[in-house]
Amino acid sequence: MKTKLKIGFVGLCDSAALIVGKERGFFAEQGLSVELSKEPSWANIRDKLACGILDAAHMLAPMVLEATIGAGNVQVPLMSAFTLSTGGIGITLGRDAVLTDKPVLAMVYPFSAHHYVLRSWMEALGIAGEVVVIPPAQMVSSLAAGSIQGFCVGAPWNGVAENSGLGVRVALDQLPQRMDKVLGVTQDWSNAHPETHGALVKALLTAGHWVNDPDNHPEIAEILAQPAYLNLPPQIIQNGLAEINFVANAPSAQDGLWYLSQMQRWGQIGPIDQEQQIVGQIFCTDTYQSFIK
Amino acid sequence: MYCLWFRALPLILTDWNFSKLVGLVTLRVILVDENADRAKMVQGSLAAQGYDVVAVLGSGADLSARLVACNADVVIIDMDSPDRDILESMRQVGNEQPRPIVMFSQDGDPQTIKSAVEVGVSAYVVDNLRPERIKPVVDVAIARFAQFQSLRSELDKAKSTLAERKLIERAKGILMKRRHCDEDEAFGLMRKMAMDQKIRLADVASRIIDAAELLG
Repeated sequence: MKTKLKIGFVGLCDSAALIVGKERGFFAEQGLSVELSKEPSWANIRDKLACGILDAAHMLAPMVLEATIGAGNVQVPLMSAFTLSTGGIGITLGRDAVLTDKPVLAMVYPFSAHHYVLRSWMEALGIAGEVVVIPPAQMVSSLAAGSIQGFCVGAPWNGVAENSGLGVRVALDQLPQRMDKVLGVTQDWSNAHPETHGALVKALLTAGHWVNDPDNHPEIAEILAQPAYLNLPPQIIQNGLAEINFVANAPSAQDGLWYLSQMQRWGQIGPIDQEQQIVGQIFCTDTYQSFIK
Repeated sequence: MYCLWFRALPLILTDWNFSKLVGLVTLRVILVDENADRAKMVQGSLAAQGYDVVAVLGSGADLSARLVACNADVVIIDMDSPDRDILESMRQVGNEQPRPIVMFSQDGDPQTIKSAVEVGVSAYVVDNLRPERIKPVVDVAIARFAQFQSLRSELDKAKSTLAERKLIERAKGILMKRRHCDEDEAFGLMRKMAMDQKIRLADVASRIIDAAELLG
């Protein structure tokens, strides 16, 4: 079984299970030796997976779809047998935001829950504006500079904005908890390394439960605060951890279909043949079940 | 007057974009690189080959606006830049961007793509340019990035060699003092331990230094 792995992640609270998996030995318990690679963009994650530089990665669920069906810039068949997180998505508006005057609003990546949540919210409120992509770490400074009037992003960035007094968080109470970040691998890798994949999922299942326990949040926040990981103040990270559900771990074909419908709704893709089958091959609940037995 | 031997012609066939298609007008390149030294190397090589490097940007430099303002054809961006996701969106978000941008790899050959990713460079092009026109630019970027990578690892190796030499000197000094021996003897003791234990001299040195600290 392949035991040395390189796993990519982006600096967000929902990467906690991966980081804790390494730092607290959950990977080692399953016989895995993991090197974590912090990536500055989602595009890097996709491309390094595609080239085999990464074995697995922290991914946006719709990005797994995007890459597999070739809706974006790169086509590579991916799949996921484990959901890392649901929740943690928020919309923050600048204190001086004027929403009636064609506001510029930012999100993290074109194929993301954040994009679709933002568009749906704009539509529901009748806000006609421009939607742009800005990296999470630049969102707060862009808000401060006035180049954007708000953004939709994951934890802890809404908290960062609020904490700095620059932004006000919008209440999104009715937001369903959908599969947000997943463990992504190429389909080839999954076929070649089923044992390793299973060990990885088992480790993340344990790590996820440990991370989900609020009693552990102060310790987790200290780990994630390090420069190699999120490089942000522990209190902000700790608040962000509380927003996320780390234990809804089964891949959801239903959420996969929702994402597909959103990609169509906002003009990113056309109609797809055999949607159910394709989504089922990408978000593999059966594989997850077999791994956690 | 224009011989229409191309099968598919994009949009409106003006003088200007026809010339671009057949390579009569030089490509306009924007470089996005977190590393100013490396950016200089790439810019130099591209300029020498006749490409027009219209801007060199760091991160957070309002990339979208600069792209439109500079009327760039190609963006060479280092993979350490968080701005890649901004470029990814320019084909997708569907705002009034005049020229959709796609990533080179959709048309590039897999080995080129892999080489690019391995040295940490990525390329984006406007949608109506043929991949053959971009390949030379990407090849230059890959070559310079690879050269920079190997220069950097040579420098790291030299630094660590220097650091190791200092460790060894320090350990020798400790041994000489404790065991009242001369430099040759001290070095001989260290070398023997290294051979017996099958470890590196620098590791023996570290052990000696650590032990001396504990023993006081």
